[in-house]
Amino acid sequence: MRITDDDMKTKIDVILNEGLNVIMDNSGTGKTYLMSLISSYCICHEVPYLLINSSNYDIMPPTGKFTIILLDNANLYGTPDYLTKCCDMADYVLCSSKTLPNVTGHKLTLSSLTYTEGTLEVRPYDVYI
Amino acid sequence: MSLTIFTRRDKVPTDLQIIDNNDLYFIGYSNIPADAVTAKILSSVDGVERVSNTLFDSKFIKDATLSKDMLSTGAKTLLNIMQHSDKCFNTVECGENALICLKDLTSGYALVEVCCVSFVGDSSCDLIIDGKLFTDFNEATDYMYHGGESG
Repeated sequence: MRITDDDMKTKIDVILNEGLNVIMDNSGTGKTYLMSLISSYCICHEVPYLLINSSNYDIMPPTGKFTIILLDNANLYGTPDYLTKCCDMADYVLCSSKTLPNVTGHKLTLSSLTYTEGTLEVRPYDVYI
Repeated sequence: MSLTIFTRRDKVPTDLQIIDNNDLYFIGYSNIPADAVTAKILSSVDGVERVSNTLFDSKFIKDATLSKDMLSTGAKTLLNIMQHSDKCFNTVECGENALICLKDLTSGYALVEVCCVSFVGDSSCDLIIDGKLFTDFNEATDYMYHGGESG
């Protein structure tokens, strides 16, 4: 799945694999900002999504089907069961985390986040089955 | 004065409140002071410059000035530590670049339960970690990496 939008104040170009996509990076690289931009994109393009962070992770619905679930700072609340449930409920899960998440039964992709010439780019660079 | 660090939650004195949600605490109680350490934190963690107590220049949106609430959680955590020496702030959401900035702080309290930092440069610091004084940041990070056991 590729998410691109040149009309945003900060352009985004995001490539996601099915399953869990993980960004592990320094502070201030735009991880949380990227999550809010993708949320804006989903609202604008009517893509079913969930945005979850450490303040609202306990409101996860028991059932549902989403195209994308966004997990900000997933290392704070993303237990293996929680992440597996997210992957069951969505085609694509994108999470930022300080540690490598543990998920079973789903593909795990490590991705890079870069900001160049006004565009936030997400690119897969390693895949674990 | 020294920055005081604890490597485990149970080592924090019971009369010292631990703040885990640095984002919300920063929004309510902290700002962007005009001093050299703050400028260095903003530059090295977020790559931005201070405009006022509540504003900074965005690096993602050209010519935009943003509210302090839009700083990264790593930068917010460091600024919380600097401004509230009666609280202990959890650094769990700090990236490696933010953890390196701990060496520049000279007061306050931080909880650092996870620390994996590789640092090259002037390693002088003034840190008290679990009651032990560290003046070399590489020795300090080595101690914290091993969870408070001398490595």
